This record gives sequence, C-alpha cells and structure tokens, in this order.
Amino acid sequence: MVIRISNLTKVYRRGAVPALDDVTLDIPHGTFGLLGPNGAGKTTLIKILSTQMDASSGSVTMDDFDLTKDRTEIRRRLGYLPQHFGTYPQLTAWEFLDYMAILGDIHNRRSRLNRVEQALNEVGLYEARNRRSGTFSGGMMRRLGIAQTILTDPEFLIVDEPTVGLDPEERIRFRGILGRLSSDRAILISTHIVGDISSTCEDLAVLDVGRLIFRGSPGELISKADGKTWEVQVDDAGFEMLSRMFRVVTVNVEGDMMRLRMVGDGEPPADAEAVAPNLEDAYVYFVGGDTTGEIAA
Amino acid sequence: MLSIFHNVWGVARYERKMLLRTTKFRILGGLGMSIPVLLGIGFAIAEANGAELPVGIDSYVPFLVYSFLQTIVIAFIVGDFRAADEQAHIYEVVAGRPISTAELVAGKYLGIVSALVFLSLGVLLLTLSIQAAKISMTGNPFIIEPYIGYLVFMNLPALIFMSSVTFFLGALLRRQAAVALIVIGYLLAVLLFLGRRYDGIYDFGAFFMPLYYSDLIGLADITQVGLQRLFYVLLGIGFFGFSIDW
Repeated sequence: MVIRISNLTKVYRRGAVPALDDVTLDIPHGTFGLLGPNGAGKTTLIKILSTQMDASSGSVTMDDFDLTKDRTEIRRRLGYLPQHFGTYPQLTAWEFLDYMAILGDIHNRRSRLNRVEQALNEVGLYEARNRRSGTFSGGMMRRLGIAQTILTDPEFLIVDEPTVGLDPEERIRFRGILGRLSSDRAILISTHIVGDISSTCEDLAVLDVGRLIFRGSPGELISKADGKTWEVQVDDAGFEMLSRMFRVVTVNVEGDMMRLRMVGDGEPPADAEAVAPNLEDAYVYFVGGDTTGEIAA
Repeated sequence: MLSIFHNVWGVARYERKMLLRTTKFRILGGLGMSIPVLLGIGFAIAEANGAELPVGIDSYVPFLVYSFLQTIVIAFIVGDFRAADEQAHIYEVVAGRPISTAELVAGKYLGIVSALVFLSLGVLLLTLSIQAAKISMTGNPFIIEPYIGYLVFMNLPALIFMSSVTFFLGALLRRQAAVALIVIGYLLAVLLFLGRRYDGIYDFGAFFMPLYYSDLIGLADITQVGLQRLFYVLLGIGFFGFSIDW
C-alpha cells in the first residue's frame, strides 16, 4: 500500500497558524518515520490519516481509496495505535482483542479466535491472555495496543509515539515487534524520540511548525550534520557561551567540567573535537529547539 | 443486513459483560434488586404469621419499588459512552474501526438495556420464589399473571424509555452528573406532581397504574394501560434514534 498525501492543510481556527501547511508526502511500503518536535503537526497528520479528523484542504489516498470518500474501506485496511492508548479494564486481554476484532468486522468466530491468538503470540502476551487489561504494566499495554492494530491484518499501520513512557527493555522489545511487522505492510511511526526512528525506519520525514522540512533516508538526514558536530570539554562559563552559538545535543558532567556534544554552523573552540554525527545530532541541527532530555534515544 | 446484526450483537455482548463487571453496577444493581426482594420477604412473613394484607400488594409493591430504583440505577449507569471511552483513552481506537456509529451506539444501548433486563428478571424470579415458599407454608392460591403483567407493563417500558432518554441526554449534554440530576429530577417530578395529572400521560414508570387485583380499584381495562406503555416504548425508540450521531 502506498499512501499519497497531497497539499494537506489543517487550520483549526480561522486566522490561526496552520497545524499542517501544504504537506505533500508519499509513504511507501516498509517503516516510515515521522519526526518533529512537539507542536510540529505530527498528531494532526496522524489524526487525519487515521480518519479521526478532516483536513481543511488537500487530499490523501491509500492505493485507490480516497480518505474522505472511502472512509470505511480505508478503516478496514488501517491499524492505529494512538499515543494515549487505553483499554476496557474489565475485560481480559483475550476478550478485549475479541471485541476489537468484532468492531473490525471479523464476523466468523473461528477466524476471530485465530486472529486473536495470532496477535497475542506476535506481541508476546499469550500467557497473559486471561488477565484483565486493567492490571497490565505500561509496556504490556503498548504491546496489547499493537496487538489490536494487527488483528485485522491491516496494510497500513499508524503508531503514534510508540515508546513514550516505556523502560529501555520494553522499548527495545517494542521496536523489535515493529521491525517484524514492517516486512509486509507500510508502518508510519510518529515520534519525537530519535532512537525509535534510527532503529526501525528506512525512510523518514521531518515536520516543523506544520511544514515538511525534510524527506529522505536517515543517512541523508545524518549527512546534513556532517562537519558540524563537535564534542568539547568546558566549564560553566564555556557552556553559557557555546550554548548560545551551537545547539547542544548532550551534556555529561565530568567533575567540575562538562563534556558537550553540539551541532551548528558556528566556529567551534580550538580544543573542540569533530565527531561523526548520528541521527540525533542531525535532527537537532535540522530542527533546533531545546534538545536536552526529550531527544535522548 | 447479517453483518449489521453481527456487529450490533457483538458490541452488545461485550458492553453487557463490561457493565456486569463494574463495581458501580454491582452495588447499584444489588441494591435495586435486594430492596424489592426484602419487601417481598417481609410481606410473605407477615402473611405466614396471619397478617391481613391488602389484596395484590405482595406482587405490586416490589415491582413499584423496583421501577423507582431502576430509574435511579439508569441515571447513574447509562450516560455518555463517548465521554467514558474518551476518558479511558479507547475512543480513538474504537472510532477508527470500520463499524458504523449507528451499529456501535445500538450495540452499546442494547448491551446496557439487556444488563438491566437481567436485573428485572432477577427481581421477578426472586419474588416468584418467595411466593412459592409462602404458598408451600400457607396453602394460599397463587396467580402468576400480576407478576408477569407488572414486569411487562410497568417495568420494561420504563426501562426502555428511561434508558433511551438518559442515552440521549448523555449524547446531548456530555456530562454524566447533569444527566443523572435531570433524570432523578424528572422521576421525582412524576412521583410527586405529574404522575396523576393529565390522565397519567407523564407517568413513564406506570407508578400510578391500577393494581391487577385490589380492594379498591382493580385493573379493568388493560388496553388503556397497554397503549400508554406502548407510547413510552415508541418514545424511547425515538430518543434512542436521536442519540445517534449520524
């Protein structure tokens, strides 16, 4: 399935800054990353693609289906995991998925049971199938969330901020699940956590203030920060000065000093060491803004 | 057509299951059932001890009290399912499924109504059991008709009507507390002021319908009562239709 987004614009209030501004983008088969800081328009785009919201103008097609005209057909081919995913806590994992399968138009009981069992196995929750979902940990909830998206074997998966709030072990497990699922479908991962993209996506787009500012491979994005990434050891005064000239990616405290990793076009200090950029550096270079904390992989 | 039936029935089945598992429903439903049943037990004990009770009171009062309590249960149980789903962060997932809004709302409505019908049937079975026990002790004659009659004429139309009104108000106001307040206010207004006026047109719960058998006024014309009850069933179906965001 190929998702074609053409000149998509969304304005919430007349006269307000558009949440999405003339975005044109093709999302091919495989795992596609959608990066951007908070307020970039990622959630708006996700809500439009998942048929939760109408665009102000522009069009979206998924293969031969138009998002506004063929909503039901698109919903049959779509799996969606929102950022804030909840369940019905009174239901067990099995019951919840069975219910979601009914809502997904799977009427035959035998095939429903097969799909539920398959989805639970896929995300490693089969052993917990008879536990009420209200007792699940955050990681288990995310896995149950992905299980409900794959129940109907959708051709297009949309996953919004998939690893927020997960511990490192669950984060790695979740990325593994997404990697496995990407072999036979298109997956759109919207996130502001660069590590999610670098470990799973072959292709990505960066949104900022509603506009598409980059479209390409992670390698191409990284190359934008080539020769512009530095590491340097500084004291408090040095940090103050450099943080005005460069975008600081990480800060490691080393005794009384700090080791900065920074990107930018400015002239670095003589003792700064040029380093090979990674996706996180490139993203920070491209988008800017406050980078400490949230951007960490 | 078959697909619509499957979807509605599937949603109803799970909505009922979820409702039956909530603490709120168990407490309210338990209270709603136990008070009429305790009254029935009280009447049976009194009669077994030789007390002269008004004719027909032992079948009428439990259902009258249950109809009143049932409205209170509805006021707190039925409401804006969309707000509840949004609060549970499940609405986006449900709304993104191919099932239509009408099927979803119909399924949720049927699920809730069927759970409440279980409660009504529970009251019926328990009151009948009490009567059976009483008869075995006193040897008095027993007629089942009033029990079924009160369930069909008094209880079920009130259940359908009030659930639909509450569902509609929930969709309109999106505030459970406001909906509960209006429903209970309406119940009290009917019981205290409106019920006996205008030939009982406002008496949605048939709280003032004649008793099947009575020392004072017996039920002479079931058709009149039936028409009034049918009016509320149809009104209920209408309100349900209005509660769907087409």
